[in-house]
Amino acid sequence: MANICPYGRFTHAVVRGIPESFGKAPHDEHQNGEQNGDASVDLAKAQRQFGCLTGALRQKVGLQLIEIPPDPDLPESWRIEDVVVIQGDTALITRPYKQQRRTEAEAVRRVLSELGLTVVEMGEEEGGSGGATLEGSDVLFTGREFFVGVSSHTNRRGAEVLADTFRDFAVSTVPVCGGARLKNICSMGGPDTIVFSNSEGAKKTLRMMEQLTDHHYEILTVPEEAAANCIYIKGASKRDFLIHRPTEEAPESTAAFQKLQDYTLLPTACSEASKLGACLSSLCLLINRKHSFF
Amino acid sequence: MTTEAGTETEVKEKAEESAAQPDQIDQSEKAPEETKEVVIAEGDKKEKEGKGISRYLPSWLKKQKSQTQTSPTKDDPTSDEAVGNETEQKEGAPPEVNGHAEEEEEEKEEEKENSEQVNQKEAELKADVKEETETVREEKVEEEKSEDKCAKEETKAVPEGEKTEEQQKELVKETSEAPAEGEKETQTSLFQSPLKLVRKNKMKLVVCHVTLLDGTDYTCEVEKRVKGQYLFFKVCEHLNLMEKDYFGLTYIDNHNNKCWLDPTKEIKRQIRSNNWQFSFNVKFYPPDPSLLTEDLTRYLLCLQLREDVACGKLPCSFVTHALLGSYTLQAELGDYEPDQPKPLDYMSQLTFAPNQNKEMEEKILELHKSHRGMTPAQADAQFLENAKKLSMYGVDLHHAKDSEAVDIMLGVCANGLLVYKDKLRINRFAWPKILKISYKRNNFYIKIRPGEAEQFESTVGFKLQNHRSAKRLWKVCVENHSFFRLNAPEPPNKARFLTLGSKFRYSGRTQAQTRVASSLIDRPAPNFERTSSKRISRSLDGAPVISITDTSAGENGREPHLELNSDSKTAEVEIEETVVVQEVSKTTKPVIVTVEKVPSEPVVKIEEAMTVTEEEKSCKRESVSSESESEEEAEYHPNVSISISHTQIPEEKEEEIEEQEKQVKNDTPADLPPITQDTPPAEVQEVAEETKDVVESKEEVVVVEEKPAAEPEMEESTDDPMVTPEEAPNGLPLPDDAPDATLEEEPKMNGQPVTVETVETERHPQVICCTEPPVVKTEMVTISDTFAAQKTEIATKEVPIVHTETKTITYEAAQLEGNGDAEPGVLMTAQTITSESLCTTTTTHITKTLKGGLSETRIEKRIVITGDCDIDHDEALAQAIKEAKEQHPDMSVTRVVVHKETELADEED
Repeated sequence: MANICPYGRFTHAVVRGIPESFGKAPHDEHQNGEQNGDASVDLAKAQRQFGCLTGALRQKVGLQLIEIPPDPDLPESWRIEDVVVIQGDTALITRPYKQQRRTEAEAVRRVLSELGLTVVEMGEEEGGSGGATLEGSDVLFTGREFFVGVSSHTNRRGAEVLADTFRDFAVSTVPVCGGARLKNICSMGGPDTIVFSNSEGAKKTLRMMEQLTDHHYEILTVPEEAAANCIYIKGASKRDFLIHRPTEEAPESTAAFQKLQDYTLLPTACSEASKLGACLSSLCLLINRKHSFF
Repeated sequence: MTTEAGTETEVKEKAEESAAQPDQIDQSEKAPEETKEVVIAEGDKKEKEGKGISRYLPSWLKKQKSQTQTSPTKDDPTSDEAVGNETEQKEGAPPEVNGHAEEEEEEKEEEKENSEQVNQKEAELKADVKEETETVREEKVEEEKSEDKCAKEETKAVPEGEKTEEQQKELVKETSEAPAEGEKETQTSLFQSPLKLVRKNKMKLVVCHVTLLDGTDYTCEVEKRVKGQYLFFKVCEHLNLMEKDYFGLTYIDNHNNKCWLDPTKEIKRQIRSNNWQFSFNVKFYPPDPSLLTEDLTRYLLCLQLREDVACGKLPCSFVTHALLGSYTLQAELGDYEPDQPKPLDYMSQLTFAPNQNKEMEEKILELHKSHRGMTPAQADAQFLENAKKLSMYGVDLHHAKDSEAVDIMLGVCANGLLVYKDKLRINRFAWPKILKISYKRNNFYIKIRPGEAEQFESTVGFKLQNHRSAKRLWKVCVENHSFFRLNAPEPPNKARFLTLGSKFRYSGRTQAQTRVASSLIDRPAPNFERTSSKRISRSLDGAPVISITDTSAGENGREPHLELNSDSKTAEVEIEETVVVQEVSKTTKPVIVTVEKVPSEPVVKIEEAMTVTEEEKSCKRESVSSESESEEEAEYHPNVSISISHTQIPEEKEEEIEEQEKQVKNDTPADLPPITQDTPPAEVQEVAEETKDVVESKEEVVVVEEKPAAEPEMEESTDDPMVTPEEAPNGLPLPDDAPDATLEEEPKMNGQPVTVETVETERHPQVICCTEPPVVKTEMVTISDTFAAQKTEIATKEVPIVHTETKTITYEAAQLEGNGDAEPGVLMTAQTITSESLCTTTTTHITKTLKGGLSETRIEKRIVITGDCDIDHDEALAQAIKEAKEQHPDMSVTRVVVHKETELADEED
């Protein structure tokens, strides 16, 4: 497809600032993160880390960065990845598991429309997609196909809506174990590379992916789950950038990233957000607006 | 081609024409709706019978002719007659009938093909008991006619100048056409010379309507009994299409399902209606259309995909719809013209997408502008480059239910089998992961190769709507697997012989072969007109370069495909219809770890070996079941050619075994005078319905070669495993059993096989267990089997089967008959090698070691020639015998047993 091209070409990143209500969201029993997160998260540190990430995206990788101001009424709105799934020209506004998160998409929708994306809604609550839940952190797009993790936050019906939206692609559902999100255990590490956690649950998911795919992906296994979530971007002049957790946060995995040839590694801390079950990719939406039809 | 041959044929036809005049009138009265009524010049059934193999045999062998079975209606060829025949032969008028003279020149393959066709035809007839009365009547008339004719036959060798010439021209034309495509073909001779395959006899013509991909209708007349490929080739010819293997014809069956027309079978038998309406469609979507050689092929593929996209069969996103639409416009209209009158109006007349709207049309136009300068061929290529990436490209979806009765879709594609639930892919079985594909009634099963971590194979079952759907899905799987994964299709004859089971196989060329063939296409790019465009397609090579980043580099790079060979040996895939096997494999499942083991197979082979004499019968049956709607189950082992020497040996349909048993019963008394009486009535009936041209005569020859050193007394015992007609063990069931067989067969023919099947399944007495193989290519099978012929137990055990290019079975057999003939100390090894040649040949080496240290090797060759009278059986036989002698110069031919079976309507008289 015109819009089927190797993964990693992005021109824009959309982020949303960390609000003061960071970590004050009602508890999510399903969440893998700390249950008493409010007490332990450090807002200032989280904002600093957020700043580092956006800095890396803008200055190191060279993306156009669009930052949506934080909204204190939406304590989880910084997890912008969840509210929309973007592929090519099309942005699917998701229906997050938590009711209160569903208003987060409004500001994002406006931005995406301004960027010229075709915004697709998941449909009314009572409509055909009733009961469907989908969060972007359960969606792995590899450039060739989608994998949707059927997790605590995303159900099969949500995946169906996604499949209906992105018809050009195969959409496969894979199980995600242990309350984690798909992107907690894996992420793209290159056009044909998937970074995978070494945990048992992740292995199970990986096996399923391998079973379902028509393609062959290189798998970069990292010993720590925290390290499994990275942000890969093929920047200008075709440099490979990988934003990954720093040695302090994932000491065992540094060596694995070193194996990536000719990559520009950008260790970026994400300890505060990860306390809430989020990860690097949760914080940004990546968009490719330069793609043409040829 | 000799002049005389053509002449004779013509003469026959002429004579028949006149003889048939009254009939013709009669018929046209009966069937006024028929547009054309042509005399049918066929059915010289008897002609061949008078010419026994004797004329080819050395005189000493002729004396042994007592074994020859001939139709009672025809005089047994005495030596005098044989001489007479020989003289006739010398005159250059071989006993070819009905204008089949040209087939004399055909390759062996084609002869085989013919015989196969006849088999199929026969099967079809069997399957189709409910013939339209009209046809039946007509056929009967013809039958009589042809009989009359036969009688006069021999006196008619009068040359007739002009007609001969004409015919020759025709022949020349045909022969020159056929090889154009077919040079490379070896296995796939089915497609080699379509036109040749058509009977020259004039028959009833029917008008076929074929909807082409551009929406136009192609109408042509074909003879009523032609096979699917004839029509297909006519269409391809009309389209000027050479890379035709990706395409096929579809028809809508009585249940409103779209079915692929089997090229190897008669159209009439497939469509089962008077609606001769077909569609020309892409059957196999090439994963990389840029590797196609001709723009014309790409254009046709584009047309198919446009239709697929427009009807929603190939889902795509809005953007993709727009993009594909824009390439369509570019290809059909050329560059965007700003002053084009009301482009949007025009656009809305075209269908690009299921939910096409103004927005999309605007987008299409916008994109169309950007394609300026692109040639139609380039636009098509771009269209395909984009379409091929769609996830549903080339996926053939079938509704099914999983084991929990949840609605799912099964998608068959180039890579394997995909399982979807509500648009989501929930599972995928790549071809290499699949060991076996089978169906049984409305169940569809795939046996999965165990993964690295797993120890056992697993079988996944799906439920289809009905057995027809299951069979259709199974066929599609077989064909897709064969086309995309094999270097060459399984050689039909070989497999047919080995399996004895009814089976369906992909009969065309594989992708590998078609690519090779395409690379040899040497003609200027054909001109063709795109639907809406007046432009002429230019080859991409000469086209101006357009800055399309995506243009695949290999677009014109015709890869040499050196790796592709047409060596069928590496590409053995068996399709069987098996019941036993499934049970068997269940038993063995825990043991089986390696791929190579398909435990049940050996069993089958052994059975074969035991019942070799009966194989001609089995062949018949095989085709019966392959044709009949009642075919309720089948198996297929998708064994990819990559696994070099490992070949799958086919399994056998349980029914077949059963039938074989019956057959044995039936045939055992074959020595008794009228063998035809043993033929189940069903066959007779069928013959009656048959249009006169289908005369089936089958011959079997057993050539026994014996080493001079061999001890004569051994002969008897060595013969045991190979039941030859004259040595068929006694104490076999009486001919009374024949009706039974018929009864059981009958329902199948009528497509209501259910009861039969159950009965047979349960009845089968086999107990088979397998142990681990010593070598990869070898299987150790412990068999305790009931010897089909005798119902006595063979304590056959540890049967190592070596899979090589040839099939070899070595087995150790205990006493077969309780006659104590073979002492306990006797070791018998028998190797059965089946090779493909003119006809099916089984070579059995039997080596016996005696207590005294003496050893004897006997080689038995069983040659089965199946076909109608178009084949010169005698010549084939003679050739086979000659070959046998050449192969074993140090051995002598001690016995030739000819078991000939001819089906004739009048045999019952």
